Formats: sequence, structure tokens, C-alpha cells
Amino acid sequence: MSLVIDRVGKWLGGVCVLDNVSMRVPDGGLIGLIGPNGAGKSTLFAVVSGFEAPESGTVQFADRPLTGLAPQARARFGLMRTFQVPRPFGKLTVVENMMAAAPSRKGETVWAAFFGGAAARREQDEIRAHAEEVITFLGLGAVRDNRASDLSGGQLKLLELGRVLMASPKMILLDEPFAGVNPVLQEDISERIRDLNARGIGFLIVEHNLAALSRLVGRLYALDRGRILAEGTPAEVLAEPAVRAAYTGDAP
Amino acid sequence: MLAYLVAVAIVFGIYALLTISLDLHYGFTGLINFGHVGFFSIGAYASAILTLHGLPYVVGFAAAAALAALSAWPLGLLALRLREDYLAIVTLAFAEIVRIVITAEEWLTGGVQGLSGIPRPFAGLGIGGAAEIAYLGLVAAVLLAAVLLINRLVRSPFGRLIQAIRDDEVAVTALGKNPAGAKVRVFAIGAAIAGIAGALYAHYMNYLVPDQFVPLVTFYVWMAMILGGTGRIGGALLGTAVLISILEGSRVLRDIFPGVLQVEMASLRLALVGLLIVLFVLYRPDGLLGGKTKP
Amino acid sequence: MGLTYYLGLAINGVIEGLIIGLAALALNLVFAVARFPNAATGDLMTMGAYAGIAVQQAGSRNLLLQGLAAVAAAMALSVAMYLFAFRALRGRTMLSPLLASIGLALLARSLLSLFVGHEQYVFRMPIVRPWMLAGVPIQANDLWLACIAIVCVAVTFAVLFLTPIGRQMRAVADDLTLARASGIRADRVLLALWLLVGFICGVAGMVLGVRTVVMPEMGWNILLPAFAAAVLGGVGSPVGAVVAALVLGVAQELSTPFLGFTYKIALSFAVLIAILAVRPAGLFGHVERVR
Repeated sequence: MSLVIDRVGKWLGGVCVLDNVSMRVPDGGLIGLIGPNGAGKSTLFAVVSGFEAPESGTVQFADRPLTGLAPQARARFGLMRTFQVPRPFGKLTVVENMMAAAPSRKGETVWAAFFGGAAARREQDEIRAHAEEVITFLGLGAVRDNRASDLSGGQLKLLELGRVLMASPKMILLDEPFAGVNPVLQEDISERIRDLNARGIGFLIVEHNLAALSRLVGRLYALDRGRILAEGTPAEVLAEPAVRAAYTGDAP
Repeated sequence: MLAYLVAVAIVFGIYALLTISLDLHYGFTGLINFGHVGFFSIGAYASAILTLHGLPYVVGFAAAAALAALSAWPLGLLALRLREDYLAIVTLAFAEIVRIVITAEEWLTGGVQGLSGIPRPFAGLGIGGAAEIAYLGLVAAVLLAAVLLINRLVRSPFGRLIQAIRDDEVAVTALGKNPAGAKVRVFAIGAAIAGIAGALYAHYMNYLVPDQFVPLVTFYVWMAMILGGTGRIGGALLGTAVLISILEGSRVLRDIFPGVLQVEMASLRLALVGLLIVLFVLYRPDGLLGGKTKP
Repeated sequence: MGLTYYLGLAINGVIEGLIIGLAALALNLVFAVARFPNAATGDLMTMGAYAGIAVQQAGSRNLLLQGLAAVAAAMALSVAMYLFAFRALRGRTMLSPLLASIGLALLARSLLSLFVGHEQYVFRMPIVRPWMLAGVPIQANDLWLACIAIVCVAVTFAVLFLTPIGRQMRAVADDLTLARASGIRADRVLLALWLLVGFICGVAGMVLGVRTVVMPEMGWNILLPAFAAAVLGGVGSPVGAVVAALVLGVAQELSTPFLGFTYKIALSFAVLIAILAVRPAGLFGHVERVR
């Protein structure tokens, strides 16, 4: 289940936002993506997850080309994403958020609401049990019955991750998991990611916190103004003069 | 006095059906429907026409629900792709088109003159108000059934899904789910309930004219929903009670101040409804009971 | 039914289209800058017309004076609505100001009927023989009204494209965050917006009132066709709104022999739904991006 981004190009409003971007996240990989603001990281995520269509290039997941597929379809193949600014189901509780995220084609129908019977109840029990598991895993037990709109920033980030986990993803595009989160919680989140990665889930992580990201991932890509500047281990990439220059704005 | 209270209760029941079905659309699913009166009118005329041709009431009511739901289907499909404000305008346009068709097709609907002599169930129970009370029983039974139905629906996994769609549709798609089917179904179910409310209205009023189905009715129902608090069945019922108080209260005032013209009372009612909408949107968007959707 | 008949309809359609165009322009501006559909637009027009009538009833037959009263009243009311309701709703979703505008519309209309009554008023115009152009009768009044409408549109465009405040309005319409970041003060821009909207509605109300009758429902009745034109013309384009309104007005009138009086009104609604079904973002709109 590897993710292959091949020479993707994207134009927005007359500006080239992604220029011949190629990346590879191997099955079970733990890869990072860095770059200054405006580098195109969010656009890349949007293209990979299907919210934007590229002008050129392809995205393949598990050897399957994703061209033209809607975000729902890509997610169902196991390629899921979180959002930079969390998108909780605000009026639902944490538990309900989780349960709403679990796939349940037959269960979430009008028919099942009235004629579901024992099988439907069983499925809901399983989903609830899975939700409790994920809630415990992420340490959200204390707020499980709180409305999502009442959660703190860090808790919302955890909820984002938790919801994606309910859908049993094969690979997760994590959009700035550490943004606005206190250092202790950052360490917590990193732990969880390592844990999940050990269980076989691949990660492509966009993050501004270079230090935290470098401790977490084995491999890094650097993006600036739509182009890949460098790739390699965190140490290698961060040492690249071009990368340093991109962040400080100096000429390389 | 009893007769008056029974009449008010019947009108309450009919409006309550409209409010809870609109709440299903907007409060629970986030669909902005400004054409609810369209479903109401389709149901009313469907049942009226069929029963005037001698068909049994059951057929009339069933047709009311079915035709209203069917008309909601294409609207629901449009709702999938339209942004909020366009959907609001389109649903409003839909209701007006329905009213224009009703006005134009005289051979079917009686046009501007409308339909009269619409039969009423239990009419044979004769004098003494028994017929009215029986009808109230019917309305109450239908309302209870609708409340139970909606309650069951919103507490189910499907209900969770539509509320998730309301809260963040993009997140729903990112999680691998398709909001489309759910939205269309909810639109149809709410429309069906509004259609049945229309049938109840037609048989109660015994006459129908297109002017009874102007956009104002939709906005009355919106006021009721906002006032009570969206996303709560109890809120919808409370809001309806306030609406009925306003609509009926002006009548009471007229008895107290006999000099006031009926026309002026209508304007006062309208002013109050408009004012309440503005005040609640500004200062208490969660409604009296604290709704689940800030408009 | 010769050519003169259709020509007559077309000319009628142009006048109607211009009136709808003014309303659509007012709608369009609020859509673009304040980002919500303003359902009170029609009633602002109605208020303007009544202000004009008030001047007439007070004894003055001076149409210019009546027109000025109309514009002043509509501008005052427009700003009042902004200060009382729309300003406080700026952070909220689009539905809030939309609902508020509906409430304000109902409030305005009902207060008007309460204090002024339900009778219809008519602007007393001098009776002039119509001109004949290629066998088609053209009312001089209609020509005047058309000119006034066109001048109003021109003035609006001049403000939008030639004045600094107009440029700021367009900047806010394009990108609010960017506009704020460039130092544009939103309050001033919005105040100017509502003054401009009031101006347009005042003129539109007078024109509609002179052409037809003045009654409490008059503005509300053309609201939906105006919405249709605004959406069809493209929410971002004031020019598009006026053009779409003209097209709709003419199409509506020309369809009269085929659709009849009742159905022709439905034409613009049907066209609106049809276009949005095919192009959900409107004719010239774009879909919002998801990041």
C-alpha cells in the first residue's frame, strides 16, 4: 500500500503552486514534508486526497491510479487525511464523532433505523467498542461525552486522528498534527503515531515544527514554491543550504 | 370556548408537523429549505383533489405524502451541489413555481377560485363538536407518529450521519462517506411529513386557494423553528406554540379591541413575526431551548 | 400577431428588465461585499416609493423632489438595517443575515401597512400621447424611466470603478482577509455599501412605483426575479446582473403569447433552476476550495 506521487503539477489563479512534484511513501512508511508558508504543502494534500485535481501528473495508491476519484472513494481505499484546522462534528460528542466516522454502509440507512434488528444492534455495539478503544488509546477518555465544540485545540487534533483511525486506514496524510499543541501533548501524539506505524499504518506528515518532526520520521521531503528542494534523512535535508535558505528567505 | 380551543389545537398540530419536518431538514441535516410551503401545498391539493373525486381518505393522505416526497427528490439532488444561499433561493423558487402551477391549472385545482367542499373525515359525527374533536384526535395521532418517527430516525446511526453532515460535510467525505444519499432521503422524508400536514389542512379548512400557500407560511415555520431552538424536537414544538399564540393571539386581541380592523391585526402579526426573527437571530440564535445549530 | 406586437413586448421587457436589473444590482452588491442574499431589497424599494408618494400627498407634484425623498428614505433605511442588524452578524454564517433580512423585510412591510394602510397609491403623471416608432407605441414616461434606470446603473458603476471607496468595496468583495490586511477599514466600506444599495433601491422603487402602483407588496414581488437575475448574471459581476435582468425581462415578455400571463412569471424561476442544475456555481461563479 504505497503512495506514489508522480510529477504532479497544479495551477491556482494563474500561479503554479505545484511544479513537477514527485514523492513516494512506501508501505508502512513514516515520511515527513516540510516547507515554508505558501510552499504548496496544503495544495499537495488537497490533490492527493482528491479535493483538487492536478493539471498534470498522477497519484497512485496501492498501485491504483486515483485520477478522477472523489475524496470519498480514495478514503474508502484506505488513504485518509486529517485537516490542518480540525473539522470536528461540533454538536456531537466525542464518542458520537468516533462512531460517525466508522464505516457502516448498511447500518447508516433509514431502513436500519426502523427495521435494523439484532444484526444492526450488534454492529453498533462493535463500533462503540472500537470507538472506546480508540478514545482510550488517544487519552480522550475524560472528555468522551463532551461535545466536540467544547474541546481544546490539542484535544481536537487528537479527535481528528481518532476519527480517521475508526475507518481503519492503510495510510494517513497528517496535516500539521502538532500545530497549536503543547509540547507534552506533542510527545504524546508522536508516541501514538509511532505506535500506529508499528502496526502497519503509513504516514505522510506535514509539519512546521521541524524539531518534533525530525525526531519522528525517518525520511523527509522539503518543498518550496511548488518544487521539491531536497529529500533524505531529516539531518541531511535540514543541512541542505537550499532548504535553510527557503526558510530564512536568503539566497542559497 | 371548547370549540375554539379544539380549533387552535388542530392548527397547532398542523403547524407542528411543518416545524418538525423543517427541523429535520435544517436543524438536523443543515439543509436550508425556503420552499417548505411547496410540499405543504402539494400534499393539500393532492389529497383534496383525490377525495373530491370520491377516493378514500387513506388514498388522499398516502398520495399527499408520496407526491410531496417525489417532488423533493429533484430538489434534494440539486441540494447536493448547490451552495447554501443558492439552495435557499432555489427552494423558494420551487415553492413559487408550485403555487404558479396551482394557479394556472384551473381544470385541476380550480385556479384562483380554488377548491371547495373538500370532505372531512368524521364529519358524519354530527353536532356537538364531536366531529371536531375526532379530527383533533386524528391530527394528534399523526403528530405523535411523526414525532416518534423523527425521534427514532435522529437517534439512529442514520441520524448521526445526517448530523455529522450538518456539522461538517467535508469531514464526512474525507472519512469515506457519501453525503448524497442521506441528504436526498432526508429531504424526501421531511417533505412527506409536510405533505401529510397539507392533507390535514385541506380536510380541516374544507377549501383551498393558492393564496394560502405563499412564502410567508415558510417563514412563519422558520420563525417557529428558530425560536424554539433548532435541532430539537421539543424546541420545534415549543416554537410552534409561540407561533400559534401569535397567530391566534391577535384574534383574541380583536375581540378585546373590537374597533381594530382585521387587516391591521394581520399587519401586527406580521410585524411581530418579523421582529422576533430578527431579535432571535441577533441575540438568541440557539432559541429558547438552546438549539444544536447556530444559524 | 405581427412584428409590432413582439417589438412592443420586447420594449416592455426592456423596461421591466431594467427595473429588475436595478434590484438585481442591489442584490449583487450585497452578495459580493457583505456575502449574503438580502431579502429586504424589495422592501427598501417599497419604502422609497412610499416616501415619494408621501411627498406627492403632501402637495408637491415635483417628481424630482419625490425621487429625492425616495432615495433619501431608502438610503436611511438601508443604513439603519445595517446598523441594527447586519453589522452585528458579520462573523456569522450566511444564513444569519439572510434570516435577519427576511425578518426586516416582514417588519418593514407590515409597519408600512399598519401606518399607511393597504390601499394602492399611484404617482400622478402628466398624460402624454405615446410616440409611434415603427408602429409600436412607446410611452414617453417609459423612456424617462429607462433613462433614469440607466443613469442609476451608470452612477453605480462609476462609484464602483472610479472612486476609491468603490475600489475598496471591490477589494473586500474579492478577498476580505487580504483587504483587511491592506488596511481597508471594513466598517467604512460597509457603510458606503449600504448607502449605495439604498440609493439604487430608492431609484428602483420610484421607477417601479411610477410604472405600476405603489402598494406594500410591490418590492417583494420582484424580489425572486431579481434573485434569479443576480444568480444568473454571476454573483461576482454587477454587469452580469444587469445584463441577465434585461435578458430575463425581455424573455419573460416575449414568452407571454406562448406561456400566458400566469406562467411567464415562472419563466425566470425555471431558468434559474435549470441553469443551477447544470452549473451549480452559477453562470460565472466558481466552486469554493477545500483546503
